[in-house]
Amino acid sequence: MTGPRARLGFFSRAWAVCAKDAAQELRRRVAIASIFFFAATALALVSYAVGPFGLPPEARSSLDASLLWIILFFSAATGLPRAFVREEETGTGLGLRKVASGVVVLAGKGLFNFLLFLAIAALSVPAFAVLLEWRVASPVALAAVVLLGGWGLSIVSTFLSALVARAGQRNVLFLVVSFPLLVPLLLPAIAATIQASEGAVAQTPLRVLAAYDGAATCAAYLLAAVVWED
Amino acid sequence: MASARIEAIALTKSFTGRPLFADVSFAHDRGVLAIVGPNGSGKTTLVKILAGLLTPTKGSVRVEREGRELSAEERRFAVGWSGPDLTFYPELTASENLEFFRKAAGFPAIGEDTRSSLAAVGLDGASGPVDHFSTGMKQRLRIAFAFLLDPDVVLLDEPLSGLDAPGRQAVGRLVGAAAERGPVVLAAPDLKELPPPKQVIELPTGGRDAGRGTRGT
Repeated sequence: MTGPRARLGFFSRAWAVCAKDAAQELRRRVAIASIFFFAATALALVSYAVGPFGLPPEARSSLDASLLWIILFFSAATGLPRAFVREEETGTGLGLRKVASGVVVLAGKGLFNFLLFLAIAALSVPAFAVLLEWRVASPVALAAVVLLGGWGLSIVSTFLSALVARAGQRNVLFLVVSFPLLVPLLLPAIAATIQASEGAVAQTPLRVLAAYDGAATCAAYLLAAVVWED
Repeated sequence: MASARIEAIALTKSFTGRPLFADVSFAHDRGVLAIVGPNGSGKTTLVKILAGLLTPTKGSVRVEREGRELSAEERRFAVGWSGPDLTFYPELTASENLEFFRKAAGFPAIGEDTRSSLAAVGLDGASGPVDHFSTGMKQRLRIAFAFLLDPDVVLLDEPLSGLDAPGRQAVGRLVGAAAERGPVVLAAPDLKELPPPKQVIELPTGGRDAGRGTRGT
């Protein structure tokens, strides 16, 4: 026996993990349906609660941006932590750990979570704009905020999912650990969203988001093996 | 033909302070090595350590191919493993599971390879998600997983568990063929239907004298 040499590159392996997660979620349907149901419910409640007040635009921009990110964050939070937790709960992590390195698995699951976040945002942001009559003066800037905020949220949630996956009380632990790590992401995301809605390019918050994403990605890459291996 | 060798060097594992086993050492390069012992003696833990799935409290594992020690990353593919707590993605079919593991390991998922892996364990006709598989079918899939990447070293923990007679024969054939080419490590309470071991490691309960029980046959 010679043992086959590895031929697929890093991204092909990570994509395989991402595609597998997508296939599982689409076939199970329950998890994805609950995420989008949560987003729809939150949107409906917010539109009923805030819509009738008819606040002037200058008072609305901060409130709208905050509400939008609350909806995006909590919708995503119902699905993102499952990345690694599901592997440990079902016992499939053992086989995956046998064949794939922590960096590959983290990248694949982070990518799946990012695509899931983008799908949530693609449905939630237009619905939010329609239901709350939210005007976005710079859609390109808003798209940049959603992309940068979404990547940071996805990679940090994926990493924390790996960190808590084999712990007891993992759901509580995830919430406690994620709070101090995600608040520094959500604050500049909200600030950048306010400025995007007002037509300004929020350079400083976008730079903060980009720096956060870079630091989070590097930290996840360096620590992936530590949280994945025994 | 590449020659492979697996060596355990003074392996000790403890979870709660008291060693499950201590100072287990052996080297094996071809044929079957059997790990035997009563329930709770640490057979499964020892096999997982050899597979790189658990870290020993003390000691180390060395895997060589043609005299060169393999890195931890190379050992992922060079050492095939299956055990009773290996589970598969319930929403995916058997071939989808194996193709995924191949791709995640870095090898192209070639349908013919997957079909032959499944045929070797009698699962070539199995369709539908793994969630609908019987206990025996899941065990056959575990064996297929162990041989999926054409490993240099094969580690099988309770390989005959839950299998019917044709399943046990299929595993016997695979183990016999693998043992002709390189090291095969088996942990099982009953080895009657498998090729006879060349070496036996006995793990007594508590394990302090494990490794002294090594014997050749």
